[in-house]
Amino acid sequence: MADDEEDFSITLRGSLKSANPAVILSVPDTGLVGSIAASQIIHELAAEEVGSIESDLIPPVVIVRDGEPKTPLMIHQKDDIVTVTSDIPLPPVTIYPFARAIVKWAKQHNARVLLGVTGLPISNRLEVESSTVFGVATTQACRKQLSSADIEVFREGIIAGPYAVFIKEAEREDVPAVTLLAEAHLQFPDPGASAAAVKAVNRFLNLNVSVDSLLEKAEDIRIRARDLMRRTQEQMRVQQKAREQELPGIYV
Amino acid sequence: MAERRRRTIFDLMEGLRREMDRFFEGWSDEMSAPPLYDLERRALSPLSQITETDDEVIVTVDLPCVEKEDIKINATEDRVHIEARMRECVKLPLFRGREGDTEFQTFRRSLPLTVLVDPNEARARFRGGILEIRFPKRAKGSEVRIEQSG
Repeated sequence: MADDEEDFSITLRGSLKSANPAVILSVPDTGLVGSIAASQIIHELAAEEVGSIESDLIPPVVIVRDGEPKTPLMIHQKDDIVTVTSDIPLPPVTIYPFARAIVKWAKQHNARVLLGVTGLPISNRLEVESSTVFGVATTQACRKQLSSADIEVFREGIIAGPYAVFIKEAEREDVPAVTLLAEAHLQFPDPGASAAAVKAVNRFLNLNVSVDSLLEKAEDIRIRARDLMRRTQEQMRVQQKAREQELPGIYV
Repeated sequence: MAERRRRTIFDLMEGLRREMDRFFEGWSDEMSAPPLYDLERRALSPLSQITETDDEVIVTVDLPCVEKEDIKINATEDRVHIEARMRECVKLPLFRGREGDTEFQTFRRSLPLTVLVDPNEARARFRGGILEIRFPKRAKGSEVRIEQSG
């Protein structure tokens, strides 16, 4: 079964066995917070690979794992939790069509929420022992849910890059969407921030994903994620990620 | 007056070519970046970031698996060299497709600084596996007075 939306083709191996799944979305971005968090969620839930996303717009790479070639854009599922992840940073030309395709797909599958997970760059990360996680929601109901989950609502600021487009597209398509932003290093892999993000996902979706192994392997993750982080840095430069440390314009 | 021309397949192809050029431009930076692995020395090049304030150049380096005592910093007025031994060997499956891992035991990086600094007045701290070095800028400049008008 293939859902074609302009430049991206989403293919599921079967049908999603959930009437209204929560779709967790992560692409390489600030501190690789979403990528590390999603990887932990997939691993701890033992989520199964249920689909893939293809596009002529993404760099021509396949990821080979245990001898098996995989597309860098994957869909995993465990019960009513679905994850959409990318193993490569998205080139700027792909962000809009990718976001449109994912939001439309989430709507077709009656997703109860599209939950983006990423980092919020802060310049004093060295001083911050445990990252605070903020949430941006497209609906009042989701904002209420954030409060119930003890997640601070992100009130003022700028979000740049792929997650900004996911939020805009979800709002336009009337898909309930939330993006969680954990305070993080902008340019270094940040497993500590990812652990804080996973805990926030737990509270928001009522899950119980352990972060113990993530914290134990934090230093190892930082070494192994260097290549992806550096490729992501290049894309973030183009996406004006540094703007996230600015205040929005205030005119009155 | 020039006649307005309909877009032909060749115009579309030209547009596509320009789009592809833009697409690949984004890749060239990545490809020209220095390698993250020095196989000869069995050293990893750490991720780093250089920022500037009015008075300082701040170099931040990601050094996981490293203790403070094992970091050596050597700085001149326009360059800083960092070398750090890791707590234990890190094995990475670098030569994908083949069996076996490559072992690394140190981080090593030499970074050019954006402006001249005073290396003798530099301050460094190491927290959570991240090294931060703050160099005061060398050129302090002189005060410029604004003339009285009228």
